[in-house]
Amino acid sequence: MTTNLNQPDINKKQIDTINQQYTEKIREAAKRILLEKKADVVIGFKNGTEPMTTEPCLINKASDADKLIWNEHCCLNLANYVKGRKDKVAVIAKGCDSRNLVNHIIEHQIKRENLYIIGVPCNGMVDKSVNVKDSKVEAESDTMQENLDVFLTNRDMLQENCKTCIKRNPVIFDEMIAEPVKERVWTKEEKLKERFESVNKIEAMSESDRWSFFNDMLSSCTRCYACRNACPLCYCPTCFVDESRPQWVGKGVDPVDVRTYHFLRAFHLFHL
Amino acid sequence: MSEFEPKIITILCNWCTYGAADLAGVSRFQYPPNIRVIRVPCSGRVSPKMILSAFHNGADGIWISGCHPGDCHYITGNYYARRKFMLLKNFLEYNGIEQGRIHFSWISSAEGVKFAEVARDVVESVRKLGPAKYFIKKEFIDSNLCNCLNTDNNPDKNILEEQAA
Amino acid sequence: MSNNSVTGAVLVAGGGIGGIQAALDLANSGYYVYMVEKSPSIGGVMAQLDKTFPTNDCSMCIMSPKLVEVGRHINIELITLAEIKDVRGEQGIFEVDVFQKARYVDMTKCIACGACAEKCPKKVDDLYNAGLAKRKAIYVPYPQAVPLKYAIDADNCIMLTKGKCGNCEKTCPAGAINYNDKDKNLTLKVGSIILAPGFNAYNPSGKAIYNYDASKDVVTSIEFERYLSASGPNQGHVTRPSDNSHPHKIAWLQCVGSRDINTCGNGYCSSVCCMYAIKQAIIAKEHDPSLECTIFYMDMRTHGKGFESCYNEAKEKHGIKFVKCKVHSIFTQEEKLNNEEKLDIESVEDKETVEDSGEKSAKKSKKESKNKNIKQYQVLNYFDEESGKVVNELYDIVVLSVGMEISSDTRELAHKIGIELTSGGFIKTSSFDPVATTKQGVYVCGAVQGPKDIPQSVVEAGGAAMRAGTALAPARNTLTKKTPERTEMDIKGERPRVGVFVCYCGSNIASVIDVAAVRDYAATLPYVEYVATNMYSCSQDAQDGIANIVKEKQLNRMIVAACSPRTHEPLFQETLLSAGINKYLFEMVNIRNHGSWVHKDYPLEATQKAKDLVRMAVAKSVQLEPLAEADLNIDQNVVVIGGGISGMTAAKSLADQGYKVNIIEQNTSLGGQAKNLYQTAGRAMIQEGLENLTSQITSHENITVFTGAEIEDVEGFVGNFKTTISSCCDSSATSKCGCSSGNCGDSSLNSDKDGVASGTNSKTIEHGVTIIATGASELKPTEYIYGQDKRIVTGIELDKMFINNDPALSAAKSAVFIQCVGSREPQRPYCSRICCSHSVLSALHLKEKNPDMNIFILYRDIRTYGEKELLYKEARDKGIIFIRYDLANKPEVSVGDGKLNIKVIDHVLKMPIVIEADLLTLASAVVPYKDEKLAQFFKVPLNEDGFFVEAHVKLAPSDFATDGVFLCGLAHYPKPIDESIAQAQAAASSALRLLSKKTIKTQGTIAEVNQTICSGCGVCVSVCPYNAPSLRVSNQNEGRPKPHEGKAEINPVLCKGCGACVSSCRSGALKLKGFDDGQLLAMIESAMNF
Repeated sequence: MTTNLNQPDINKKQIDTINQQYTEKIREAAKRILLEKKADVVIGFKNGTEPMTTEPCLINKASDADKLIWNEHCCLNLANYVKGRKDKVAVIAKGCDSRNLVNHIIEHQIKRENLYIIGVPCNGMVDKSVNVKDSKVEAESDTMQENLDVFLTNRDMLQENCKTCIKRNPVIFDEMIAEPVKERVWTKEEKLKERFESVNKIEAMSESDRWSFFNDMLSSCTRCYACRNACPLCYCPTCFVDESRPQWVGKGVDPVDVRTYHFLRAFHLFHL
Repeated sequence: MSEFEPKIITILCNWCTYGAADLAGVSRFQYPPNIRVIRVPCSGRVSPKMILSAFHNGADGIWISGCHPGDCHYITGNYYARRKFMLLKNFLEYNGIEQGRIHFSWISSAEGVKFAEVARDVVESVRKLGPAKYFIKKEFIDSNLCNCLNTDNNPDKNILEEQAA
Repeated sequence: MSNNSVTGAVLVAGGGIGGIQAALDLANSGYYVYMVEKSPSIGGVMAQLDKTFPTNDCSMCIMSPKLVEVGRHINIELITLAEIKDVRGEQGIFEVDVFQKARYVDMTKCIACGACAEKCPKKVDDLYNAGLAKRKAIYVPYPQAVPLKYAIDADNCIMLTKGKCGNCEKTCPAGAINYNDKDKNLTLKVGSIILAPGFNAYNPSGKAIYNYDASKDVVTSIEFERYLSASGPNQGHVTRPSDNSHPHKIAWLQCVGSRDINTCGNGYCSSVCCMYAIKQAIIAKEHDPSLECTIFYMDMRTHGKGFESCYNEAKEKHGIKFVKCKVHSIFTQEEKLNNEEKLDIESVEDKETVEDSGEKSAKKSKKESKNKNIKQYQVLNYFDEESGKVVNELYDIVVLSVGMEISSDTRELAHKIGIELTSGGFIKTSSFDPVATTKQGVYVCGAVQGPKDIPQSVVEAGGAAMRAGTALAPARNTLTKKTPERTEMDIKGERPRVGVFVCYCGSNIASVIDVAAVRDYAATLPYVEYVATNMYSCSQDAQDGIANIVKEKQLNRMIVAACSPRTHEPLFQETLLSAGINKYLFEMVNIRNHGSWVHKDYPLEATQKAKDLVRMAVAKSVQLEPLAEADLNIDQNVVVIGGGISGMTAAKSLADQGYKVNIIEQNTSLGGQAKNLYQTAGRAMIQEGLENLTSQITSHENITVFTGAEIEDVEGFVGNFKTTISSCCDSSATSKCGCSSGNCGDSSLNSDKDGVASGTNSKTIEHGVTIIATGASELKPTEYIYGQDKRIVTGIELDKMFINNDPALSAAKSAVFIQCVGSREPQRPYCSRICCSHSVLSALHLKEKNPDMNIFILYRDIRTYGEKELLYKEARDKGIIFIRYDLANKPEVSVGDGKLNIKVIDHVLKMPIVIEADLLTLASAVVPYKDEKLAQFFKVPLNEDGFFVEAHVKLAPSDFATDGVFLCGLAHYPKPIDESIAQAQAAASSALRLLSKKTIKTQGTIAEVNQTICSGCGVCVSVCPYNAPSLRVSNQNEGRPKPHEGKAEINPVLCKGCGACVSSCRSGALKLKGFDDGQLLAMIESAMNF
């Protein structure tokens, strides 16, 4: 077992290999699904116009399947593109996407029978603000999978939510494009310390500090509702802030109204 | 009025706690006059927006009470209420609302004594915290103040002046 | 007697929970009811209870809506302080003489303000609190009493006994006191009579062994119930009655006044004491977890639904100790103590337990306790079976679990009007007609028919109502009153014009709150057009005045600031309605119960609070809308699922009242489990009874039977169900094919039946109500080598042998029964209720066949509840041997050398014994079918065990939470035939309540969906316990999709208006009419803003 701090490229290479394999499998599946008419469209990812970005990609011809790609920048949640469709849809789903799909199925936003889920075991998405090459990816093993695990637990590189991920593999799927990856097992202590690190930080504050913390956080909010549009769980045709009878939350940027919007939206996401 | 007198929005279910409040009356159990009761069919009827709206309007505390879990007149309404409120309370407190502003209780219609006891506890715990500080919409309080100053002999004048200061 | 001459009224004697249920069932199905109650108010024993087992529901909370319904019912006439003196005539045309004592308070004037009682100088033992507290000579029995009117206790009133005082007359602000009131004799003409006088608790007074008279710390269970109650003498704090100190150890002694022919001659079991003792112990432990609770019992009889798991929880979760022993006597330890011991006891206060008090603490307390009174302790001296030793234990409180008795008055009345009693003194009924007395036209329900719990009483009440009504069906709706139809003015588009009426309530409100100031303040509020005060808003003249003002001033919203909407809202709504305004445009402000009465030292603040509350009500009222109560037709046909005894009884009950009933039976013949049963505990021959019932069913002109039938689909809801079945045959009265082959193919005979599509094997029946009576079956045992030896049979197999007069029975020299086979085990934790009585009865049958037969019954607890206890006694008298085993040491059955051996550890010898048997009967569990498909079809729940879950375990045992669907028989819980029949009649009675109305009104305050906002998430569907919301689905046959497909909609018939869906709706698409977000938020806003 070797540790090579100076050669992060090795890992990058291995990741590229995996991405290559996944991409091929995804294209193959998309072609097959469209040809076999298991779905009318396949929703996946294509390369973005900027480096280190991807875009959602909707294809309805098998010949377009080669547009689809997979890499560590496929961070968008495609569940958002599925709801409300009347046709049969195949969708690429990471662990997190699949959990949203479940929610959409339960809440009648998608019909399970109209949905074909192409499951992708996820190795985590890269935080774009971190330069891959500069990060300290360590190789602790010669096997690719184990290297990946190291990569994935490297707290510097991943998106915040990937760092605390508990479901890398889809929880629901019609086919998987690769063997499931190992899920990280959290000890109770890790859970409390690591997974809820940001939560704990706020909890440790005094009441007034907590109030100010969120006030500061929301002080720049202009109520553009991009958060609501991007959210895979926000699908109400009329959001509570848009209710007019009674209009109990102001529509402007009064700090209490802004606060109420974010507060209740968050509450709606984890409860009714 | 030298001491701060809080105003507490109180939402009671018709079948149990409202009945307990009636019984407290029949039995003449005394409790402080700071609560303003709103009657609803079931504690399950209370939605988070009512709690937030109470704070918006400057309520110093909120007290919601229903039937004991398992005793709901509508079979399961208070189970939903309990789950919803526990989350909401924790989340509000996580946001900085002080512990002791929001109260939930389960009081059956035979528990007049308990109603008076809990009413006293709720009022005391809110009184200790002083006037509400968070989630208040300024415009409401300002309009209160105007109205208040225009009205003679308004016993709440002092409180509002304190709050404004 | 011609049908036209019957009287469409029923007399219900007794206003306890049984009487209440019977009265409501009858009054709601077209009969006028006279409720004759001995005391000043209805409620009975249930009103005295703190909680009800096994769910520990608050008794008063669940009961008071029923009390109020009776009190307000237009077709129930309450005759309080009254008793039946004589009954003349016959079924259909009874004349009943009733003696009514004077109340001395004018019920039309009394406003129940309580001023009289406050001034009354005479204190009397408060019977509602079991004599543990005092009340006045003028009183209401309890605060929630119905009618809520004071009464003077003539025996104790100083004015009535000595001619002086008169305080109450002077105080009464309403002028309601009338010292010249006279006793009355009434004669009531009724068609049927229901006796529901309830029971008296056994009085242990005069029996020295219980030490009840000698010590305050020995209390009856009724007294203890009052101590536990928040409305009791101690506000729910349990203390030692002798010195009010904190108790540490409490003992319950079971079977006091029950199963006891030595001290009192009550040989029967009172059925409820085991459960209430467990309940009381659990509640006491909840009050103080450090409390040591011990229940001394003979057999734990937890044979009802949910009882066994409650018992298990009491042991495992609550740490309540159960000791199997009948304690023979109790005595007080006090003066007889020597000095040392005395000090030991004294130190209990400090040291928590008697055993721990060492020398040091004894010395310490010696100094402190010089002048202290010495404490009393109750000594229980008993034989502990586990240790095999005699134990001497001290307790702070001993609760005597007293049994039920029938009062001598009731027995005398029964004798006078010619009704037979059982040996236990209860009213005699028969297995196949369990609520009918021996006198035609007189029915019973509740404990007077035999000791029983609340649900069983409620079931019988339904049964009695059913039977009482059937004979009077031709006179239905002849004597009932109808609420007059009123026209409402259309106020749509009108600006709100609010009228505010503030009540003085004599001095009740006015002594604290400045009523005039509240009125004047109200006048300043927006939209308020008229304000006034009333001395008593509820008085008749005030009501008339209010109605006139509403008309005159063209008010379209009304607010009354007075007492509680819970008691008075309907009254004022009625007033508003009489002025032509929709009753939902009313708001009530509670400034008495929530104001003057609770803030009496804070008049300024109370006045301000009243103003705030009025302002809040005005803010809400301007947003109120008139609400409609839509009429929904009830299809007059009935479907009964299951053709066993229960299903057939339910079907016959409704068919006899003129309704068309369809029985759907999956087997090819009717009869269900009863086909295999021999005798009831009442010694009725089941095959005879079954044959009789079956022939009545098959020849009944109103009944169609579908045998070999399977339910394929169910659509609709209360009033309008559509059930599709596939059936091989419709063996109606005209087409008895008896299709055992399953393909008679003769469907042409069925075409003339109403509501039945015919011609194919698949039929759709339209019906308004459904009764589920799908039954249960006997478990096929998997233990005790069942199936490996012919001599080993189950209970039902044994009955078949009796029916066939199998020679093996009389030939047997030795017979063994093993109880609890498959019941009360971890995988099937409930008690099957019927097996103990069944085995005891079967053992007696065997003895009758062969008196020399040796018979052993191996049991865990013998649960021959009620008067079935007498069978148990008879069995012991006849030499049947009972051997107790426990779950850890179950009997072992083996076959060797052709001999069938049963090894069991004898509970007395503590040694294994082996019994050689020629016949081994396994008393096997009753197992439900766990019919999930059916549950799904009718949207009704199943419990963990697989039985259907009723709407309420106590008060609605035969109803489902889903309207229009009812439940009876074994599908509900294991029960014997008489109880199944009673429940079938009760389910029919519940169904009749709906059917007889022909239409039902939906509530005004129900939820409504705005589909353009709805996201169709279905959360409302999942939170509603009544299945009112659903997501719109297009009917495939219609071709076009429905508008708003996939969005929620509310069925107004099923909605109960709780609002759980409304508050759970994230997008705000739901509103609850009358309690809408806008209205409630307006109240919140106006509470803080003025």
